[in-house]
Amino acid sequence: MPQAFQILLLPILFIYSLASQAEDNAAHKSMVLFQTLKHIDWGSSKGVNKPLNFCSLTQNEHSAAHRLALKQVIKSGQNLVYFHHFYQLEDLTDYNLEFGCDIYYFDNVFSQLNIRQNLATAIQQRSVTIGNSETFLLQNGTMAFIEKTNQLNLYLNPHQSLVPTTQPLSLYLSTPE
Amino acid sequence: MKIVKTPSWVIILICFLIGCFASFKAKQQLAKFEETIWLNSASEANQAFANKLTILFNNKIEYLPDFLSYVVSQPDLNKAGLDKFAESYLIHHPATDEISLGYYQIIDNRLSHQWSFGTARSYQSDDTLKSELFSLFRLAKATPDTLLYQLTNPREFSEQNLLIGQYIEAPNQGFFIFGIIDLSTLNYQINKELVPDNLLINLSFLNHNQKNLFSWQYNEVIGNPDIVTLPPIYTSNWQISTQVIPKFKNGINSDKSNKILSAGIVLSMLIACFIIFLAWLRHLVKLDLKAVQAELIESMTQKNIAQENLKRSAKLSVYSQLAPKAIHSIPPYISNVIKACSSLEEKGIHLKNLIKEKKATKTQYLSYLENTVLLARGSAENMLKAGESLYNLEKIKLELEQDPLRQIHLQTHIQELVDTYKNAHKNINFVITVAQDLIIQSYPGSLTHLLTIFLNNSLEHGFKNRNDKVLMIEATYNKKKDMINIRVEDNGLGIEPELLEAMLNQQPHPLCTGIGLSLAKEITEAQLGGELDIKSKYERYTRISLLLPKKINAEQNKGN
Repeated sequence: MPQAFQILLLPILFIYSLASQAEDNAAHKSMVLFQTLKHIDWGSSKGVNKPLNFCSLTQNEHSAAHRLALKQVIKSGQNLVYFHHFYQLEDLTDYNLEFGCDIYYFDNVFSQLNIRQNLATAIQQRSVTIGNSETFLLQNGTMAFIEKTNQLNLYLNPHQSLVPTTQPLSLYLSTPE
Repeated sequence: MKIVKTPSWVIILICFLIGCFASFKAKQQLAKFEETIWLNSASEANQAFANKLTILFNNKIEYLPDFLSYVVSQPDLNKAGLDKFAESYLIHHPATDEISLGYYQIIDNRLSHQWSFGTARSYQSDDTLKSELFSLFRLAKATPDTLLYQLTNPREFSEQNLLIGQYIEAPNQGFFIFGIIDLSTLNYQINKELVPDNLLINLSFLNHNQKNLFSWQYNEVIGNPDIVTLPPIYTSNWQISTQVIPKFKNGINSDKSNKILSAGIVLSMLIACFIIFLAWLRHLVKLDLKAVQAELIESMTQKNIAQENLKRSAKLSVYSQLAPKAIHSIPPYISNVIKACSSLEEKGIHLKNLIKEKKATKTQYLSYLENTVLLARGSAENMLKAGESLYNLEKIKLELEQDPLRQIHLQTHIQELVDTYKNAHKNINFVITVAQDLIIQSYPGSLTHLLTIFLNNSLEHGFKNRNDKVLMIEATYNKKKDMINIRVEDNGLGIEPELLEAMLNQQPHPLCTGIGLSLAKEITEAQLGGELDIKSKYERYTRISLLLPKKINAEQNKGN
């Protein structure tokens, strides 16, 4: 019984600790996101001066997206960006179905999950998806923060560039596809 | 001008070193110029950075005055309207990427928050932030209508921000607007977008009192490279101190100065090669010159030998010249004797026949004897004269060969010599004026040789196509100097001035063979111890004056 309790308790504690933990390098990530989004050229895909929805799916409110949302409204290209924070994948999916998301942000935990379907939908919507970890990129995310040798890097998915490469992503990443 | 002979290799080395030195100095000058250009480009990059920084910072705050005038003009606007203003401002100002502002209204000295947008909203929910904002408000109220800056305190989970505030006083009310600049974002933007590579920039933000609020450094370098400090730049809010790292624009572009140095060295080498070539040519010329000199020396030696031989044979040639002239007078004498003998023989045979026939008379006997005596006397005289001519010739020959030092009766000596010439040159009027008692002790052969040269010269070259040919020989005693003057003068064609000068100075001349008058001068001075002077007027006369010692000391003359 104590052993079974321990087995049950440990994942709960782990999940709780994840939920209450602030995202690593949130300040830096928010800053990089602010600059990156500013320089995105949406062209006519989202309509001229149409506000964009930034949908974040995070474990808690201590994420880079929440930090970025302190600015209330930011610009991406010449479009204003409004923030919407979600903590459940279903909530995000529902909102997307109802209002549409133009920019997605997945924190480190959700980036590790299988969100391939959501990312594929985002690509169809010509939306930008931002995540964390190499797994996120391998699921065909647009860009991801990946920390290597104590350095935070923002990797862009070459498969989603204007001139997509045919080479496998594993060439750019350390994780095999 | 004295020419110092310097070895070729020294000249080449000096030229090469001068070329290298000049190239090096040119490179130094050009390198300074290149460094100036490099620093100017760094200054330009620095100035461009300052301009971009000003634009960037102004974009961060430019909405404040616009918002202020908007709020003051429409104080009754609700929050939704103000939000719309902020969003509209963001849309219509591409350079503005973020708006974070709020404002308070002061009515009856009571501070009332009206509206906040962006990160400024957090200053209403956080008491610490609010106290920092109020601190800025107090400062702004003390200095109304002035844009003030205040740095927030660093906190956990929060970056430092720059608070901007301004207080505006209106009738019965006041407005305090404030904005927030995210310094981490600004720093990131400056670092990633504005800072030029390899410029070590120290950026200081100055408040309205020109006091430093905070500083940032970019492009920090490890170690202490040889950096160059640029003059500081001041903008309205920033002081920019910049140092140039040697790697800026790949360092100073020394291509041109290096090319100049290389070109200079190559040019120096070319000049050195050219000088080597010239030196080689000079060496070849020297070799040729040496060969020519050797040939010339050989020729000169041969010429001198030939000239010496000629001089030696010149004496004998005098005899060979005189002999025909002397012998020319003998045949008539011999002929006369033969004629006399033949006549005597004929008359003898005639008388013999008369005697045989016994027809000879006494008168015939006497006539024959008289004729015999006359013919014998005449033959004897002719034979005497022929013998005398031969004797003179022989005597001259002996004297020319042996040339003994002896006493010479000058009149006899000259007369005998002139007699030798007279028969061969009957059309020439020889005028001889020599005192009877002039006796000198000298070398008769040399004297004869000397006089022969003068006479031959006059007779062979002096009288061409002239009718009144006079050759005068005069000898007098010079009491003052105890010497003898002999003058040989003709009224012939004279000597060309150039030839005369060449003869007297023993200079080379095509007509100067060295066995004529120049030899006479040599004989006069060396053998007879006298002096020779020749004066001539072309086509008028030639006068040769000899000044001879009356008595030559044999011992002294041995040395000569």
